[in-house]
Amino acid sequence: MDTTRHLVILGVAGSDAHAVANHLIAMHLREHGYDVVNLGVCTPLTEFADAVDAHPEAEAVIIGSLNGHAYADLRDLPQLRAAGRLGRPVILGGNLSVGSHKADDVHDRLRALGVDHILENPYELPLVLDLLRAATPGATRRAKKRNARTRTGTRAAHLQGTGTRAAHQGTGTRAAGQRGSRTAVGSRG
Amino acid sequence: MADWADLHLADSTVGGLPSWAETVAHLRDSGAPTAVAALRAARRAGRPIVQPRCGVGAHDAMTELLRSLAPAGPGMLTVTIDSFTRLRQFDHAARVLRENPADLNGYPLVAHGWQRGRELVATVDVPLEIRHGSPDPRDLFAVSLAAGFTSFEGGGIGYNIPYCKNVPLATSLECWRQVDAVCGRLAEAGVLVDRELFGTLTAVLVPPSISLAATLLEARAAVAQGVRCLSIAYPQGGEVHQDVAALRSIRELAARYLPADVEVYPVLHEFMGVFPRDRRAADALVLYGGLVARLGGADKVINKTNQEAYGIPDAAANATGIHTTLLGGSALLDFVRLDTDRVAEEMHWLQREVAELVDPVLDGDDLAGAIVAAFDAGRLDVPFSASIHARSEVVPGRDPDGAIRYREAGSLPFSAEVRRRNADLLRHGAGDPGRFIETVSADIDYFLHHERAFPVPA
Repeated sequence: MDTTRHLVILGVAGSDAHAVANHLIAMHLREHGYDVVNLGVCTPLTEFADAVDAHPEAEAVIIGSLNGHAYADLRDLPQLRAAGRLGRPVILGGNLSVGSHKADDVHDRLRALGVDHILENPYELPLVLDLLRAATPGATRRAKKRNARTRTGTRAAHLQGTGTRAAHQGTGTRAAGQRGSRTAVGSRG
Repeated sequence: MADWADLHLADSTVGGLPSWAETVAHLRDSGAPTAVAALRAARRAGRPIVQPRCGVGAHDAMTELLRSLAPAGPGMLTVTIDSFTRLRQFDHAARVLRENPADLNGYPLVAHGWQRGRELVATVDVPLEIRHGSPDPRDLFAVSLAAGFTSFEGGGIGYNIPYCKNVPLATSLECWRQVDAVCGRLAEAGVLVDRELFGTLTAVLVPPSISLAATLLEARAAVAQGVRCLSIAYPQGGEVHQDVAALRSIRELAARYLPADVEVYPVLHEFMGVFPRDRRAADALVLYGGLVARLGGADKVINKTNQEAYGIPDAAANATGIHTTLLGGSALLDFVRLDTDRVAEEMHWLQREVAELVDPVLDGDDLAGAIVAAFDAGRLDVPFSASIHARSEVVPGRDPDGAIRYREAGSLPFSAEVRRRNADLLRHGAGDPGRFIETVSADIDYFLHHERAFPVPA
């Protein structure tokens, strides 16, 4: 039985401020025993890369995108990978395109950017992560190495690990006119 | 940065402002209707006034929008501010205003300037409130005062946690402390500015005690700076006994925690979550909001519309929403009575939860520091936060009657009794733990499910 702790990095794509699904997925994964570094809403790819650097034991990067701008928000993934960063499987889910584009085409374009898995349903996440681990010989070793270290509170690690927080001051503010009928952060002044 | 009435502002803002003395004189002597007078009148009448949200980019269009809504009978109108201005991107707001004002999702007051603000105030015969979502509202507040607005929404918690990803609470609390201190100076000069606190927070299944605790702490911070008129807003959750208990508790908590000479006006935000898509089902929910506001003794209600599920409402739908809300709070529904025992029981437990949340935070000299420390430790928390400075360990859920309870209380400092009551109430509505996301989503989509249960023919 595999009793090692497994860590994943979670966040919402750079232009997207939908918080609810993000929180629900974090809770779901934690209930399944994962340590979740949740970078929250409006997270640029560089911040995901920083989080991977800060948590080299991370098994995957899970990105949600609900505002239809997934392709634009992930456009720089090839450059980051070419620079040797974000070297973990990227799992993407949500509403991935605006309007009525043919889904296959959208998925093909996202895969061409380097997205490794596209999820239809967040319940599939634990299964996909299990499959990834089985297919990645180094993954379990990374997790065990991490568990050998003394672990400080995961909250502090989560908050301080990325070191890029100040750069994002204010980026998460929603547009004033987006009325709150979606399952988003629906609050309005 | 430069100072204006002890507010640290951008040089460009200060350069355009009238003097402090001229601003105070205009606020005191212009004769324009004030927010506090409208709220006092509502209190006397025993029925809530209705206020819509509304804001567009161009000045002419904003003027026309206010004029078109006034005949529907609002007791107060709004100038909702665009998101660039909320983030202090005043130059960007000005550029979009020049190039394509329809792209702005609100009125860029700082870019327009205080003189145009005075024109808006003079356009209608009801007071105007500035509603926005700024963690640092100081420049916007200065321009609002110079323009003669007598009501300004926000606070260091409620305009941070739901609106930004990473502004430290210490920063937003200090910015809002400066705003409140200016209100204190104005109160000494005989000018009451209504400061409304945004208890709606993230608007998604917010447990009432979290809403009331956050606004009560903001109220204490505001009063310490001399604020004398507070509107405390609470979001309709959907279960009438709980919502009425929460609204009625605002007055009782104010009497317990705030000085007697501070005016406190309870405000209801009509349901802020996922709205029915059918126009008639949405209208019914809007009517219900007006009724809840009246039953709870709210002095004001912020209305929704039957276009809520589809985006920003047009002026006609907003006018209908105002009117439907007024009907809900009118004598038409005065026959409605609630089970007083049930409301009293809700009030007892709600106020106990609030006390368990706020008493430890108030037990010291540095309120802002204590708020920051409590959020950091999860002793204060907001579910589904956009900000990383709230842990969002709290998981709410609806009980079988639809009332919002704590499924998980996280690190909130609740007593065993409070935890047990919440667990007991949720025992039959907990759903399948393996379908956690669907269970919570169903609670979020509560009124959507109501709508689907009674399909309306097209």
